[in-house]
Amino acid sequence: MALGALEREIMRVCWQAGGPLTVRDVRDELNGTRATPLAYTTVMTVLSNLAKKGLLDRTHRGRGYVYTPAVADEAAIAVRDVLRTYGDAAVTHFAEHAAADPDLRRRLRRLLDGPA
Amino acid sequence: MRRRIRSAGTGTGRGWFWSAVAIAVGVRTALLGAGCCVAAALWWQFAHHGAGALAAHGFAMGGALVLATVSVAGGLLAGRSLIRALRATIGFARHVRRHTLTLPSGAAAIAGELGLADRVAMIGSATVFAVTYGLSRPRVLVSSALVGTLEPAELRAVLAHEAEHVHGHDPLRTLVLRAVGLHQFYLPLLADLRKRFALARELAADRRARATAGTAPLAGALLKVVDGPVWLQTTPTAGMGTAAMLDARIAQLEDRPARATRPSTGRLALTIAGIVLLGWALAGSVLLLAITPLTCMPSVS
Repeated sequence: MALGALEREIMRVCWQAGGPLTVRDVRDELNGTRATPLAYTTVMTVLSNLAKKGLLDRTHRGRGYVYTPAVADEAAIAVRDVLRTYGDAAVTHFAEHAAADPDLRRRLRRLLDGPA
Repeated sequence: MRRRIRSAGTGTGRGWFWSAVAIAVGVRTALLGAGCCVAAALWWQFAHHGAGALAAHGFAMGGALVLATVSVAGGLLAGRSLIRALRATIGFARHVRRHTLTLPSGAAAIAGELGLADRVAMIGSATVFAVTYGLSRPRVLVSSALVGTLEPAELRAVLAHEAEHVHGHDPLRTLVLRAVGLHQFYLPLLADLRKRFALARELAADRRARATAGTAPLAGALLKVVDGPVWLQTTPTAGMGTAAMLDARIAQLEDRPARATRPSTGRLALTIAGIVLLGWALAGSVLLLAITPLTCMPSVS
């Protein structure tokens, strides 16, 4: 998945923030170093596109949304893209995310504490 | 001296792999083999009788048309999918080569002990993951977060697990199954065979990891990986559902039998319908070939 220049900039802002960001937060951070400021709607559109691509998580807060990274870094994007596009054709992987299954985690913790 | 990596234990998935390949290749070969003559026979019938051929020989023509369509479409789609997968694999390997970091000495030593010297690459990433990739010479890719987060025994368990995938050439075998089985949508149970192969390989890899590092380190490594973010979750294609496969792997660690998985009634019914359809198409094609005076085939007067 090739990211555009602005998409990459926005992802870097989100990674560096370490917490949820609103559209205004991202815009203010980007415009701090730009000669030509970005419009609110431009930033909002790109954030929305990144959320659709699965790179950002979007949640409601008040009357708007806040955004947090869904991937850890650019390397993760590249690996994820190959795995998502081609499933397990190219790679096998150690384990996948267990998606909120407390029973599986509980059993793993029990094995962790038990005799080796 | 290069250490040979040996496969672990019984139940390594070989049976599922060759069963799936044999069935898929058999079906594909039958379709392709008949396809050329069927296409010629269809051409002859339409050329000599036009649309009237359908009215005159409905059963034969219908079957032959279905066979020709399925054969050509399936072959083209499978070929396209195979090419895309190969390009993705090459691109992935190229990306890894560009971003490889030096493996810490401790991790490199563990890799060497497991016969994976010069087969483990590390890239910088805050996500905990380990994958085996590569077709002709499989390699292991780990993230810097995995190396930094796991205890040495847990890392040993992960690398021992991946060593099984390396020895089994699992990326290549998985690609083969996708290529031969893909787009045979009329036989959905073929996908079940691929899932059983994938599970058998994971269980074999876990057995190697447990034998090498112990149950607790393997459980600890699994917990740290599955607790990570969702980014690594692939689109469910040929693999088992995430939770079902993990459940089976944990059951093995607990020395319990895994929950029996049976194909759904719907998939079974679809496969039977697919076999019936294929049988009808083949029968119609044979009849069409028998009544069409092609020079390469004996005709029925």
